[in-house]
Amino acid sequence: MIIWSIAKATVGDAMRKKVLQIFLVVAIGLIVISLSFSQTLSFSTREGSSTDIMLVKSFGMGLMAMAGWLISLVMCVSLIPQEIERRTIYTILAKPVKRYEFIIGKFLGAMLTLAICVAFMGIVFIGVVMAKAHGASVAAASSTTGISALDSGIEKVQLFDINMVWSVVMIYLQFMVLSAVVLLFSVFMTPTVNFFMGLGVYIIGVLASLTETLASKGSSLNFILKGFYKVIHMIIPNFDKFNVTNTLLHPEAHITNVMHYTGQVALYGIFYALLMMMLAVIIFEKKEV
Amino acid sequence: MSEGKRKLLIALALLVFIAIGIVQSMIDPTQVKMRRKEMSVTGNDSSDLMVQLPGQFIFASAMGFKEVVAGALWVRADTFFHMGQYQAIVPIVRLVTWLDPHNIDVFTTGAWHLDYNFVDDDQMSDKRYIPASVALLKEGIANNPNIWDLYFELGWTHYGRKIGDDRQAAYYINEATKHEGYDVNTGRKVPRPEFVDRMLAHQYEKIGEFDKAIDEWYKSRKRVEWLMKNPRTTTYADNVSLDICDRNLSLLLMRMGWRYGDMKRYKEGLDIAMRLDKGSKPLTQWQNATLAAEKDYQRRLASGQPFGDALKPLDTDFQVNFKRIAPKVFVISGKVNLISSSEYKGLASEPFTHWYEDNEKLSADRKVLWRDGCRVRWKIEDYGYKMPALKTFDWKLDTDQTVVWDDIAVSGGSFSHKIDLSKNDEFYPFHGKKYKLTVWLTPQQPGCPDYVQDRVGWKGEAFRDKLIDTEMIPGINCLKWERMLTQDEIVGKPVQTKGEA
Repeated sequence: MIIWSIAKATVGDAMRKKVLQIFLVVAIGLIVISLSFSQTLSFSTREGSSTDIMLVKSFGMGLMAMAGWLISLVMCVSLIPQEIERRTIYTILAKPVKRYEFIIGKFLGAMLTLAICVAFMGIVFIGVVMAKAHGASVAAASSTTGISALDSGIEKVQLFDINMVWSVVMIYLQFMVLSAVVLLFSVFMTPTVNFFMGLGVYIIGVLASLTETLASKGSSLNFILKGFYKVIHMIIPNFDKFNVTNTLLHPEAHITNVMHYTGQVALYGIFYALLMMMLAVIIFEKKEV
Repeated sequence: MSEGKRKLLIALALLVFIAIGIVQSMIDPTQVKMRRKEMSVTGNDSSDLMVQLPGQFIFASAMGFKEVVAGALWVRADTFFHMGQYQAIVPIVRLVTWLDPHNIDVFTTGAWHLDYNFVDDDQMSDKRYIPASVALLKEGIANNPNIWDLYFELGWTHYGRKIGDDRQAAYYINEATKHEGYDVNTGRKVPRPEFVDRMLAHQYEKIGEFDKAIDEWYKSRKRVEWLMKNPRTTTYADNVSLDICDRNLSLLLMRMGWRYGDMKRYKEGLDIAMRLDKGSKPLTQWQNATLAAEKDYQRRLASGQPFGDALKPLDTDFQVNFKRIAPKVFVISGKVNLISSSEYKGLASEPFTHWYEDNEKLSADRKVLWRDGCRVRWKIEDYGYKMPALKTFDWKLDTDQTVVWDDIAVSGGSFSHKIDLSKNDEFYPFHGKKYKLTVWLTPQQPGCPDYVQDRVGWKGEAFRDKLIDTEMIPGINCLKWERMLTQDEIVGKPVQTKGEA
């Protein structure tokens, strides 16, 4: 109950932050604008509009990722330091609230806020893709009057793709991990330092396939450097595991077992967040406030 | 928190860390597999690469990092090039030129890929990509109208070499000569290279615009002199460039005498030729040839014996045979009287070249009866096919279309070549009902070398043949054999057709 109360209060605080609201509105606005972007860019080599729809998906996913890390960082860097700075933490800890309850409550609040933001963006994203697909299907139908779409060579336009929901969930999991990392840092770092640390971790994590390659057997690096990259690859969260834009665009080519892969990645994300929370609790227990 | 609980928590954290490592090691191989699939997708379908562009890249572009993204993509294109995945490069070209429309290299390299890198098993390029290549360059010109590079590229390598439309080539190279270049490192405006102007002179010569060609050689020479006097220009020009202009101009002028009896031009050419290699001891080959030509000129002038080798009729007796030996496999063979050694006896160019005299001196086993070097061209296309002129760059192919051309060397007055189009159905679908097979020979270079032109003229004036065509290239006498083929004649059982116009 205590954890839930702290979480609710955290959500209220976070959602009132103007900067978060702006990120959200701008991201949603840009996702909507991407409808017209796809019409401007004519890269299609195929008949039909599948390429344009793919472009909308790619753009929307990029925007959600961008907004995701901005929201995670801006929201979580100040979760603990703000309470200390405002001295509200004394009031909270003076009550029968355990320190670990405070940390977990804060994290849960951040997760709920993130869920609201990602859900908003996800709904708009899916709506925009469906609108685009609907426009394409109308165009296809009008150009193939009298003959079937198959005979005309124009691809059948799929309005709703369940993989879009999947991609939104993966984005959420990705930023759950980032939020956990930033929350851990916020226990012992100032918000500014934490922001850049968090961003650095995110960038290295996004490049995880690179560190993996550098650490692999086939790499031409010497064993010390290989070892270094191996450690980096194991310690820094591999955010690129959650990046499924390409897979979303080419589900027919990539996905052999979605549930299996998602399950593994979700487990990875949850374990990672759990580890960060444990470390945060361990450190926060010893912290003088 | 008690110390015991704290230690327990640390132990649990350690366990979770180990669990993370286990899960990660399970996911990594799956990811590697996914990345492999990405690569195969790009190799199979060029459009896929475009849409695989991560949203972050597009966002970065929209936020003002267009050129940065374009540069990164171009580096990626280089990787694909080294992997031999040419199909993957074209969408990147499209994207980079969109992000950075002033990157000249991308336009030229992209056009080159389209022209040359989509090849069949016999290394014949897919000609259906040429309209896309031309459209890409035209887009490049529209974005970069004030530099010479892309006009030249379009004229010389596309209309001239690839399509064979020398008039269009001359037009675009002429446009190139109206513009200067820029230094890619500093962005500073620099003069265009001197070879651009020289190429225009050659091009005018090819289409029989001799006065313009002569004028252009003089202009080119002046430009080289100007470049040499302005050492601040980074464009290189030296005495060799001057020499190239002089030799080409003198030969053009002399050939106007040799081929058409224009004695005024001949004298003008001799005068220039006499100035070259001045002071060399012993005399150079050029000087000896010039002196011999000069004597011949004086002798002919005195005797009233006319020049004009290209005005003497030559029965070319062009014959073509088409034989299908298997579905989509043909042999095109034939003969053309270009050009027997005897034709060089008494030729006006002989004092300069000594080719006939030198050949006569050879022992019987080394003496040649024909001077080879000509090439006949062949083309099989959908009946009524017209190369599309794309308004905007788009590499979509009409996969139902069939158009293919190449050339065959003439050796000893005959030619023969087996053409196998059966191995690449995507390139040569033959979906139409009717096709046109054209086999032709143009007196223009490079199909007809200058030493053959010395006998037949730049425009094939000496050609006498029932297969002469003057419409294919207006103003030029071509030898053309044409035949309509049905789909059955191409993909059905073998038949033989003896040549008839």
